Amino acid sequence: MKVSVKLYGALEDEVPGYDNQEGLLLDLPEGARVLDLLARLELPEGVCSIDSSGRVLRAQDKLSGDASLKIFRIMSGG
Amino acid sequence: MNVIRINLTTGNVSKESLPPEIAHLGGRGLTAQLLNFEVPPQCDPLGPDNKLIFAPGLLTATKLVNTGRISIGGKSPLTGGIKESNAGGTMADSLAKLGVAALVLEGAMPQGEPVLIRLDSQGEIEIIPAPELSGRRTYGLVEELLGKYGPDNSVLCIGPAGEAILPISSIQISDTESRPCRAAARGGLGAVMGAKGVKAIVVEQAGKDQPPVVDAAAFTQAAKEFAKALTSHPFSGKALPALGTMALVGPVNSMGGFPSYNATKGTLEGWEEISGESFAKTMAARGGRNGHRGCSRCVIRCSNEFVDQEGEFVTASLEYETAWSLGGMTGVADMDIIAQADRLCDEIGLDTMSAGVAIAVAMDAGAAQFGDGPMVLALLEEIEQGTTLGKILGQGPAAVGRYYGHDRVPVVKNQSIAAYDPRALPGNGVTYATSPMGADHTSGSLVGLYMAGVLKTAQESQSHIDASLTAQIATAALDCTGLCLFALGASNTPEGSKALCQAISAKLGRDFGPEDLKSLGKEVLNLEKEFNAKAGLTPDQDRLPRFFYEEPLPPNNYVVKITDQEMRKALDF
Repeated sequence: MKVSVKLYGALEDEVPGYDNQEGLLLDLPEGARVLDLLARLELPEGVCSIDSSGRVLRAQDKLSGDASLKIFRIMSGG
Repeated sequence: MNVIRINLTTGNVSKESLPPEIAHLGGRGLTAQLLNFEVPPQCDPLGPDNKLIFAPGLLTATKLVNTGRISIGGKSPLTGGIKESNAGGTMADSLAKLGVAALVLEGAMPQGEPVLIRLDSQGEIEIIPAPELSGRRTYGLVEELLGKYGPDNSVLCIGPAGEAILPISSIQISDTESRPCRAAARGGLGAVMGAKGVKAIVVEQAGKDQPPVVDAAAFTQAAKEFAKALTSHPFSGKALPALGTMALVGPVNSMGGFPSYNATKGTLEGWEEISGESFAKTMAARGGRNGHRGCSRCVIRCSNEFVDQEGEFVTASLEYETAWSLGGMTGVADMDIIAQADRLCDEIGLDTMSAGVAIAVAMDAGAAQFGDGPMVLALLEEIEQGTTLGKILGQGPAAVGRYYGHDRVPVVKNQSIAAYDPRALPGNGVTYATSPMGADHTSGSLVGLYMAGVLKTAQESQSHIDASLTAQIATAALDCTGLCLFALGASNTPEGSKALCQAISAKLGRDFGPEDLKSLGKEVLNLEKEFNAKAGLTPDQDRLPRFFYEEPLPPNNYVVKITDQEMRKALDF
C-alpha cells in the first residue's frame, strides 16, 4: 500500500534526499504499522504522527491504504 | 539573599535578609508567599495596598543553565486574583547577582508622577523623577536609558498601555541584545506598575555576588548533568533551536486544536504560511535568525529575530502564542502582519495574547472582518491612542464581549485562553479553568502528551484532570527555580530529574528529592489558592465558557465534556 508522508519540525534534515514540496510516497506492506513506517525512515524517538483526519496515531496503530501522514517532533509546550 | 522594599508613597528603601524558613522559595513561590502574607486580598489591585514583586528564581545566576526567568507577582487587575507573570531576558540574572531575592514595590507615587528606579553595581537604589519619560514607547525608551546609564544594564519597563492602567498591559524586559522584547505579559501587571507611577527599573549587570550555594562542587557537577539532559532532549535540544515555539503551529493545526476565527474553528486556513517551517525558510532567505539566545544563561536558544523583506529588524522573538492570537484568532495568515503586530504590542506594552483575543472577539461581534490584517494593526494603534474602541479593547476580551453583547468570549476569570482549544485538548481546558492564574497555558500545558498519544481527546474526564493536576504541580515547582518552562521536558527524564534535585540539594545544603519537588509545587499552589479564596474568587469560577460545551469545534467537532463539578474538584489534593 502507498502511504504519503510529510515531515516537519526539522525532521526533514533527518531523512536524506527528502523533498519539502513533494514529501514522500512510501510503499509499505499491507498491515504495516506506524512503527514500521518510522523504522523505514529511521526517524528518531519523540515524533508525532497525525493522519488527515487530525487523529494522533500510536506506534502500534495499523496504517490504512492511501494514508496521508504528517510527522512532527513532539513539543512540550510554548 | 535579600528582600529589598521600595515604598513609593514615603520614598523609604529598606533591605532585609530572606528569612530562613522561606529560603527554599524563589520566583513564583516567593511572590506567592509575600503576596499571601502582605497584601490585603480584597484590596484594589491598582491602589497603594497592592504590591508588585520581582523575584529571580532560587537557582538564578548560578552555574545551572536556563535559570534566567524572573517571576513578577501582584494582585491582578484582570483576574482579581493572585498573579505570577514570568519572563526571560536579562533582568533576573542582574538582580540575583546583586543578591536580590525579591524587589518589592509598595505604596504608590502620591500624584502618580512617573519615576525611574535605578540599582547600581553596589546595590544602591535611587528613585528618580522622570516626567520626560511619560508616554514613551518601550524600544526608544530603553535605547535612551542605556545611552544614559550604559549598555551593561538590564531594563524593565512599561509602555503607554501600562501608564493608561489597562488591564491587558505587560511589563517588558530587555533581552541579551538590550531590546525590550521579553514580556511578563499576562494578568495586567503593567497596569499595577503604572498605577504605582514607575515607568522603568534599570539594574546594572555588574553585580559580582553570586548567589550562595552550600555545596559548590556538588552543584557544579549537577549543573553539568542537567545541561547535558537539556541539550540531548529532542524538544529542548532539537525542535526549539531549529524552529522555536513556532514549531507548534503545524501539529496543533493538524490536530484541529488551533482556536481560529475567535475559536469558531480548530484550524486556520493557510496555517502553513505562518508555520515554524515557513518562518525558518523565510528568515533564512531574508537574513533573519532562528536559534537566537534571548535570555541569560540559555543553551536552548529558542528565540528568533524577524526581519522584513528589506532585511530590517522588526521584532524578536515571534512566538507561537502570538502567531495564534494575532494571526489564528483574527484569521490573519500573514507572517509580516503578525510580526508588525507583535512589535506594536512590545512597543505599547500589551499582552499579545489578550490583545489579539480582544480584537478577535470584536471581529466576531461584527466590528471588523476576520482576515483584515491592516485592521489588526490599526486597532492596536487605537489602544495606544485611547480612542473609545481602543479603551474597550484595552480592557480585555471580556469587556469587549460585554460592550458588544457578544457571548463567545474565550476567557477564564477574564483572562484569555491560549493557543490550545479545550475541546480538542481537554486537559489544557482543565488548566485554563482551574489554575489560580486564570486561563494560562504556562501553568500546565499538556500538548506534549496529546502529541505523544498518551492522552486522547475522547478519553474519560479523569485522565485529563489527573494530567492537568500533575502538570500544574510540576510547573509551580519549576517556576520557583528560575528555570525556563522549556526545561520541563528534560527535568522529567530520569537524568534531568536527578540532576535538578541534586542541584537544589547542593544549593540548600539538605536532601531534596523528587517528592520534595512535588511538595514544593503543592505548597505554591496552596498559597495561590488561599489568596484567591480570600480575594473572593470561589471554585464556582473554575469553569470554562459555555460555548466550549455547546459549539462543536470544526473540523473534528469535539465539545468539552468535563463538567463544572469535575472542574471544581480538579485541584483538590
